[in-house]
This record gives sequence, C-alpha cells and structure tokens, in this order.
Amino acid sequence: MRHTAVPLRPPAQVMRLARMGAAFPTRLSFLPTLLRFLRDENAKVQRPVWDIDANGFGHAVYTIAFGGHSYSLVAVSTDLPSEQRTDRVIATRWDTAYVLYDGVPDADEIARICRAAPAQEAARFTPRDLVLSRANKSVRLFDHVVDALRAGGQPDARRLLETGYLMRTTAVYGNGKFGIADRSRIADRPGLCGPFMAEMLTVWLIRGFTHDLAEHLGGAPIEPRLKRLLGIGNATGLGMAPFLVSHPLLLDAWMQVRETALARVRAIETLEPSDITRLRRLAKRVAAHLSEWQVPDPAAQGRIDQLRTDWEAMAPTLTESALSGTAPIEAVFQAARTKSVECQELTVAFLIEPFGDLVDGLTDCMATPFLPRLDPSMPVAQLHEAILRDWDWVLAADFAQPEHAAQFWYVSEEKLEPRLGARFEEEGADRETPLDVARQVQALAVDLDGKTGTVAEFLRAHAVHRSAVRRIQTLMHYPYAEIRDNLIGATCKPIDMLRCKLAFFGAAKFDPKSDRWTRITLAQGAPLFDELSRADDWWLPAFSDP
Amino acid sequence: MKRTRAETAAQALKAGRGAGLPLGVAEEFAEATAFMNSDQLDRFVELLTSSGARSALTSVCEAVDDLACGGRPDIGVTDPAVLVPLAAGRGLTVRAGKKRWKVLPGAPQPEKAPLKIPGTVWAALGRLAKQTYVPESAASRARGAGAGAIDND
Repeated sequence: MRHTAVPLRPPAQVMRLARMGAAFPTRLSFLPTLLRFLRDENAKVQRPVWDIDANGFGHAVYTIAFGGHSYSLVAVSTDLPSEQRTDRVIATRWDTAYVLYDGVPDADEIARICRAAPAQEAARFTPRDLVLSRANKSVRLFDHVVDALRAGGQPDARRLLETGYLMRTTAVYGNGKFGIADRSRIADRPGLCGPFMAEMLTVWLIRGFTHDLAEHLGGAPIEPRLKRLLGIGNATGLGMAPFLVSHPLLLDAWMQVRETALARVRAIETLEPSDITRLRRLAKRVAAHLSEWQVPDPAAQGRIDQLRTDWEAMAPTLTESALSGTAPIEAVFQAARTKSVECQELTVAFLIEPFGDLVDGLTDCMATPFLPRLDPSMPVAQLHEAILRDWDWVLAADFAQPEHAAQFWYVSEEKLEPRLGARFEEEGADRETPLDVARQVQALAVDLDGKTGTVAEFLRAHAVHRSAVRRIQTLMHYPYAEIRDNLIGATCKPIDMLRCKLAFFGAAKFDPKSDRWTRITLAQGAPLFDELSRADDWWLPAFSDP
Repeated sequence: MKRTRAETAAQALKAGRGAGLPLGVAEEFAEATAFMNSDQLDRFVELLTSSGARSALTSVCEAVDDLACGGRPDIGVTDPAVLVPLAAGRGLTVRAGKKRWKVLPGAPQPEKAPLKIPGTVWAALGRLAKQTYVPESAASRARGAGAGAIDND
C-alpha cells in the first residue's frame, strides 16, 4: 500500500450532536481493543466458584490473569419480584450484582462482596473492588432460553437475535465511586490503562455469567453459535451525557484517534487483493447486520430503514473493479457523503475495520494523562480572537429566545438521578448543572469586548468567567474537545451524546426509548471465553453471516 | 471514613457550586483535592463553609494566577493549606519563602491513597452539595430521566 496525506475531518463537522449521535463502534472502540489485548496475552477465564442453587440464586467467581495481575468477577444473583424491576437510577434492587475484584478473593472477601454488591450505591466498597455493576434480566428471553433448554432443544435464534442479550446492565461504576478503587490504582497496568477497560472487562465477564446461569437453569449447554448472539444489554440514561462535557481532553483524544485512523485509511492509494476481498465480505455482513437491527420506536426504525437503503446504494463503490482502482477507500468515503449522516458514520467505521495493522496502535492514545490548564498570562485579545474563530455556534445563539435556553440539566435529590427539565415549565433551573457551555462562553464574549490586558487581570474583575476561559483555551490546543452545539437548546437531544460515548465503548444495536434514554447491546457476536482467537473479526456481527 | 480521590473531587465540586463559588473556582478546588492531605482538606472545607468563602477561595485562585504569570505573591495573601494543593492542581510546585511564594521546578504528583475524612467534614460538604440538587416532584420523576419507572421486557 502506498499513501498520500489526507487531513482529519474538521471538528466543525465531526463535533456536532447530529453526527455524534450517528456514531458506530469501530475496531478502536474499547471492548474490541480489550479483547484483542486478552487474545495477545493468551488470557484464560476460569470459574473457581459456582455456588448457584437450583433456582438460579447464589454467587459465582470468574478469574482471569494478564499483564502480571489477576482479576475476578464476583457475580451475585438474587430473587427480584417483577414489579420491582427497573433500569432507572432510582432502583433499589436488581436481579444480579457484580464486583470486579483486584486479585482472587478469599472466602471472607467473597462473603463481603455478596453482602455489599446487591446493595450497590447504598453500600461502601474497598480499594480492592475495581468496578461495581448490576444487571436485570430480559425476562421473556431469559425464560424462553431456559425453557427451551429444559425441553431438550435450543432457543429460537430469531428471538435471541431480536433482543440480543439475556441481561441488561443498568450501571457500571468505576473510578472511585462508593469507595471502589480510584482509577489511578490500575491506570498503569497492562490492558487496563486505556479508558474504561476495567468496565469493559467486567461487562464481558458478566456476559459469560449470564450464559452460564441460563445453562445452569436450563440443564443443558447453549450451542456456541447461538451463545455468541447473546451479548450484554445496557440501559443508558442522562448520567452518561455530562461526562463528555466534563472530560474535554479525553473526548478530544477519542475523536483524534478515530479521525486519524480514518485519515490513514483514506490515504491508501491501492489495495491488496486480500483487502478487497475482506472489504466486500464485510460490506455484505454490514447489510445483514442492518437487516437484523429492529427497534420498536418508529422514528428510530425509520432511520435504520433509511440507512439500509443508503447502504444498498453504496454497492457500486464496493465492486472488485471499483476497489481495484486508485484511492479506492477515498472513493467510498466520498460516495457516502451524499447519503444520510448515519450512512456516513457507518462508512467511517466500515473503512477502518479491515486495516488493523495501520490503525490499532492508535488506541494507545485513547487515554490521556493531561488535564485542562488555565493560562492566566494570555492576552485577552487572543482569547477574544479564539472565540470569534472557534465558537461560531455560540455566537449564533440568542439566549433571550426561549428555544435557545429551553432545557436545563439537573440532579434530582432522589438518589441523585441526572435529569433534564423544561426551563419555562418546571422548577429547579436555579440549581441547574452547568452544562450550558455555549451560554457561558457567550456571556464571556460580551464582557471581553473592548478589554485589554491579561486573562489574570480580566478574571480579577470577572471571576464568574474562569471556567469558560479555560474551556476556550483548551479548545485552542485540543480541537475536538467541545461538543459544538447548544446543550440547553430545545433541539438538544441527550441521546446523541449517549450514542457517541457508547459507540466508543463498542456498543451497537442502539434502541432508543426516548430522546434521553436508550438500550444498547455490547459484545453481541464477541468471542466467548474460549474463543479469544476470534478477537479480530466480530465488528457488526450478523446471524446470517456467523 | 476513607473516601476515594474521585468521590472527594466530585463532592468538592458540588459543594463549591453549592457554596456559590464561581464555577471555575469550584472546578479548580475540586481538582486540587487530588493533592490534598486530610489537614488541607479540613482547611478547605472550613473556608468553604465560612461567610467569606467566595472571596477567600477566589483570591487563592488569583494568587496562583499570579504565580503562573511569574509573579511572587506575598505569603500573607492567602492560606498556605489551600494554596499549595491548588497550585499543584495547576501543575505548579510552590513553596513559601520568608516573605513571598515562589514556584519550584518539577511537576507535583497527585496522591493516590484515599483520604481519611471525618464524618463532620463530609457532612459539611454534603450540606453544600445538596444546594445543587433539585427537590423531588412527581413531574420530575415521571419525565426527567426519559424512562419509565417499571422496566420489564
């Protein structure tokens, strides 16, 4: 392959909510990155403890060693009355609860975790506990699988495909919450140094537990080809959205990695025959995956239907003849630009997928040791120039107009659940969570007008703008650090932020329940515990292409 | 009780906002908790719960601005217990001379171990943090999160 340089897609295009909300997982996403690492480590999952009764209640321990450390998932299954099953943060009981433990727990530690994990946020944990999670059954599917196995058969593949998981996690907590280990404990460890790696490990191990639990209750094994169809679901609400705003350098790192990967593959001048074959096979798998992606919400299903149509229309760019030409990846990329945003982002992920040799090393840059830093010596004139140059979406807004300030983010007193309110209809805007970055920057621009001197001098007179100043300075060096939309406007859909982050996790089969809540599937099609050799080819899996 | 660095920072941010600090000041002090020992956190909370919290803590940020610009603020200008970790959070190692603060070479490293925080101090942070929560209402519960209260499939 020869290459010519291609620039990264500009932040003004990439960092808009509508495009972020059309994101797809890529091979650079965290879960596939973890599984490739585990494959390279020849890591083995063992199950030293299985103390589950005939009704499926009790506990189990799974262990895995890599990078010089051992880690264990302690899974606790308890009886949950149906009417108490909720995915909301306000839940107090769950079907199952989990801790990812640093090491191999002894009997005392297992007993401690079995007491604490089911209580979740109401309990305190220790620095040996790395991740805390819980999951609820997809009851109809879980019961169907168990019943089918008990009857001597196998579950219906169509039903497995339709739901995609036996259980849904409703929170996966890491980094110091409720007393669990701060991320600094594992940040230098091989395999866990990337963002959310401990959480991804937990989710992948939980998936295996759900398989084992169903097989235990059903009294028979699920065929591997069917088991692969069962990933882990997740119900995600607003709590995830503020993360992208409060971690600008991390967001910039993730975006820069993905966009750099895209630029690299676009720059390929000619393809090897094996790459052409792989791309064409992958394109068919994408079509099959899209045909298997069905959701109840009519608007969301409408977008998937449009995506299917757009993908079919891409076929002429994916013939052997077309891919044998010069700059074929670029040609496919350009062809997608006439299609829906979803098709464009799907194409981005598709084009990156076959070229692991070219892009996988970039995942080392997904984590960043840096934090935003205020530069008080900067002349305010330079700051003002930066606003005019980089913050056009801010300058265009008129926050006196109701539609530009229609919503407010807040945290409810009840279990500290993140919520979104209608500013002019509900109480609480006086306590809003400060995600109104655009409004803050606009207010700063007004007060900066005509000022001279340094940032330090300006902030002495205008301390209220300190946060906005730092954000502007950050964007000057980290161009993908900001979501370039008004997050309190009437048209802001939090689900766009959720989908962006979840795509980086490796989630697929987005199933929105509202514009602020979605279910997704992680690890559907992913290698089972004893299949890590398959860790390199399970992106957008399809049942008709196992 | 021991509190992790992450939950201390998160609570400090909410408490700072609840105390009426400018957002950027609250953010910097939340980040500074990664560099605080228990005594320094106690002093921070003492200042945060005082009547002059806003001006006292904002002036610490301004003193660090001065240091970052190459200045050498008078040692009397602010409380060392909070200035040192705040400067560390901004990447500066500082030391008090006889009359003035000065920046030393080398970047400070955050503490990794959880902090032992007395219940009274945590409760004080919690009271301030509560000022950032919106009281519960039926409408908020029903529509604010975008999902139903019962979730079976």
